[in-house]
Amino acid sequence: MSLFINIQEGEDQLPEVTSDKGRLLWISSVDHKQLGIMYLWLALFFFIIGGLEAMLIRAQLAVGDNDLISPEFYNQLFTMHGTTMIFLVLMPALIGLATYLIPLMIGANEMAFPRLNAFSFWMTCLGGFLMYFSFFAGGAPDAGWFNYAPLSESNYSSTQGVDYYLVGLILTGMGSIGAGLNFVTTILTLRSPDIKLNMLPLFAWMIFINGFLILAAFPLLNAGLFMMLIDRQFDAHFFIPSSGGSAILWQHFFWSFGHPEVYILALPAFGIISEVIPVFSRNKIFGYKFVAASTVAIALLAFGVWVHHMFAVGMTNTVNGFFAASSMLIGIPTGVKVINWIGTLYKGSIRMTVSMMFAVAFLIDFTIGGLSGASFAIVPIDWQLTDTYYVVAHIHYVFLGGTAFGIFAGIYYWFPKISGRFLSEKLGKWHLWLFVIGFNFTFLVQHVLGILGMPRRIYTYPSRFGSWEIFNMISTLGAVMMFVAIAVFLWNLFITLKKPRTAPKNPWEAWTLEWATNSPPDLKNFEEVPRVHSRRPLWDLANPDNPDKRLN
Amino acid sequence: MINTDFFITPDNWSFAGIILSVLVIAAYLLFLKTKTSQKAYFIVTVTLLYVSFGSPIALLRDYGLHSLTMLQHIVLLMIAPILFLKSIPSNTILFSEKFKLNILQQPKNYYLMFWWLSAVMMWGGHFLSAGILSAETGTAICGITATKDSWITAIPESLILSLLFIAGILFALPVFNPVKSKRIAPLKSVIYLFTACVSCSLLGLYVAFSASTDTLNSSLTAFTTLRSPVPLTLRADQELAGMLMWVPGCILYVLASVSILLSWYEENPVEKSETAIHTAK
Amino acid sequence: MKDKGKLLMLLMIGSETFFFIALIIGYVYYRNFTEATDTVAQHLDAVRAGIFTLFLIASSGTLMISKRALNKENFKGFNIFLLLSIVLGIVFITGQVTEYIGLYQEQITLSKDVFGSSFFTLTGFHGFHVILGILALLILLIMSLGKLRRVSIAGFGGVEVYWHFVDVVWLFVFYFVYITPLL
Repeated sequence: MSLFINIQEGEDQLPEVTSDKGRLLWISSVDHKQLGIMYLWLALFFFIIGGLEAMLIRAQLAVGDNDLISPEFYNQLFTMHGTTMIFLVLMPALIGLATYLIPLMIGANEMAFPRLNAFSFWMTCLGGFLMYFSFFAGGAPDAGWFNYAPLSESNYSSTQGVDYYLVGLILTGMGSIGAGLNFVTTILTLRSPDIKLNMLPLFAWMIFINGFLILAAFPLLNAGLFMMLIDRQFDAHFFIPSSGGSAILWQHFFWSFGHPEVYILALPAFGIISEVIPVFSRNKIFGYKFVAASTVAIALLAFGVWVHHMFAVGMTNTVNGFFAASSMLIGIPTGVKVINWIGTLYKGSIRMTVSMMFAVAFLIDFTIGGLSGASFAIVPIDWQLTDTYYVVAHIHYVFLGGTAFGIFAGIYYWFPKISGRFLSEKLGKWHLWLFVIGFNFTFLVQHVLGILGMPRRIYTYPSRFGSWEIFNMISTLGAVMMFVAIAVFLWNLFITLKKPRTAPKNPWEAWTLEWATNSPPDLKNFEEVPRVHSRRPLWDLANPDNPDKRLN
Repeated sequence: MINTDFFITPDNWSFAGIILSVLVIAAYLLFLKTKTSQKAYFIVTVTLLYVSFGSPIALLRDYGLHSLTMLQHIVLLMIAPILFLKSIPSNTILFSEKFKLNILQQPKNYYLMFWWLSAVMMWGGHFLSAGILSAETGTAICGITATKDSWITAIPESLILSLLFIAGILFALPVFNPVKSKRIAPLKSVIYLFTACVSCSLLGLYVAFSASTDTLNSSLTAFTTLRSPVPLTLRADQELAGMLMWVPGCILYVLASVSILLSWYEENPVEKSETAIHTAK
Repeated sequence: MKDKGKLLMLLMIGSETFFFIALIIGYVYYRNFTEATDTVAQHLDAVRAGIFTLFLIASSGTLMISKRALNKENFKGFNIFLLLSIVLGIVFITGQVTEYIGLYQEQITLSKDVFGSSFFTLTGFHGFHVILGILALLILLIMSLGKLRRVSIAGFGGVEVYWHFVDVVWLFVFYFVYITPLL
């Protein structure tokens, strides 16, 4: 038995290797590593813009009876903030990490369809910039990120903003579908011959499942978006109740996509956490099969719960009751995962790097988000709290405290691999503490605001509501802390990227295949792929006396 | 209120059915060597069949309860067949080499056909039953209005139910075949079940949404309370039918998929082939 | 699966299925679950559409024959039947275009009411997919006339699956748009 096997791909499948790393080489690149990095830069760019929008919103809400910005502009701000953060920050960041890492993790040199990969990236990019172009074309979309009809129809929303929203999301949606197709085909066809499907690292497994979720969810959104675009541009009547259409149908289309989308954003973050926590607690993941199988359960159940976003629409108790039950059920597989992560930490020799600390922050804040989510599955509570700041707090605990913390954990973890340099741990800790404390300051109090009855999306509120003013001020101060934290993070990136490359191949003593390549990997990832017999190939190589159980 | 008398009146429990069930169970226990769990599965299967065909619950459909028909369909098409296949020992003659029926011998090769067959049976069975109910009760059910002397009333309901059960067995065969080697690959069976789940969801969606068509009659409680031992308004009944197919129907397949995957993750082809050699010896 | 082109196409078809399910749900929703009466159905000629449906089904059949010819390396037969599939596809599209013209002359338009909207959106998106399929088949034909035989064999699997998919989608569209109003 030889230690190494030759990889079966021919040389000509790779893009040309040249020393000139000019701009043209990046723009025309079909290499998964370059595209992954570009995805991450795109996400960072829009993260800064979306963050600035959030700061403006918080500044406006800091005190009552404020008129810092106009109501029209405020509507545009919260719509663009939501749309940007979900479709142009979290999606590209997760897809970018996956594009970069999936071929490395399965011992491949490329994605299955490199040009489709580039196409997906440029579609996402085009969609994002097109949406932002609306600011220069008479006004950005202003009907909220879920764009409810009939408010978003041309008789109520007369600027071109919503059209830009529709076209932009159709384009990014196509990009996401392309990425989903590519992930699934890559994992099915390009695995190193040793790697069976049940030996995938958890991140790769979750991206695999996520690929199917993307493929099933995005077409539903696209269909709705196309119908609304036809409504607005060709005077059709799909979602206009006054001429026979149905506004509820838009809600069904949007949320039958929207709820799976929550999991499309959560599953890859779960995958990152499932890589980071075992490595930094020097333990095998506790209950691999439960973490992996619960992913499938989440993906399948995700399509049977969307009506809980619409409890307030006025459906009957029968329908509400069933969806309340199924929404509760989907909490079970998620809870199983949290328990497994905690089980992995148990008795581990934990190394508190910034990456690990973000993972722990994820565990805590995502659980809070999950619990407030479960409270929404209870119909009467939903009726009371729907469209209040409680919802805002919940969505931010899930997307920011969950997905974004997961992404930060992943960035700090894989940064040495991607760039060959270590992000400063000292600045990283400043980033972490400021961000986590600021985050909880901002959004924990919003639960209370919601219970006090403050509706979401209001431009301002009377300053005589004393408690509202206090809580909103706390919230704004927290947002400022997060703003500073991101400035620290950017500074950290800036100084790190100027340092020389010093990272060794496997700085964290991790176990998955991407750490067997150079840091950063050569343009051709693997000259030869190590033999893989278990889920932790590098552990087996480092500990030949005590290998994991063979799986092939 | 639910009329409990209806359920405890002995007349409403089919005596012949009980005798038959007991005989079948006794025959199973006497003639087949099986594990305890398999015995339990078989008893549950027969009980479910009895409840669907011969208990007061089966009689409830005379009161035009659409949700009840749906429940029968779910039990017969989705639940009972899986339990039934789990209770059959792998050395039964039906699945052995002697029995020269290719469909049972190599269900792997026919899984697409089985899938479509059961999907057609599910949708067709649903609309036929809804039509019969509509003809018998004179109300619109699931958007179907059939007259009393329509051709549809000529079809016996038990025929539809039996066909559903057979279609359910054929559907479950590629995934839950008693002979493990004749099952389709685990990931394939997850996709097989998931696509079936999509089909169930669409039917459930359709049935649940049909409820909003009939507006006034359907929300009057008196309309059905007077007749049925289980009072439901037409609308609630209709929605219940749809939701039963949509939500629990899907969760059933999700559970099946997860249990298949859980054993697949630990699968080791080396060990598997070694045990195969041992058993061959 | 070794043929990644065909695998990609199968996955994309799965994804497209959800797209068309959404559009069909729209149509069924307006007709069955609202109080409105279908104003388009009475202007549709199911027999005429049925004849054009046969053309589309026939094109799937000829494509299968041409695939068989390709496997036997009978390139002449392959080209002839591929061309025939393209022609049949174009006949179908012509039928759809003339139907649209007829409906517009009867004042049935996209903006007339919700049924006009759903009819033209659903059949229009299907027609768009047929046109894409015709283009793909044309590219295959042009390539097979040159010397790129291996490439065309590799691409053929995907395009063939796509073409059958477009065919099957039409059967569902035909059923829901043309047949159910008659039932």
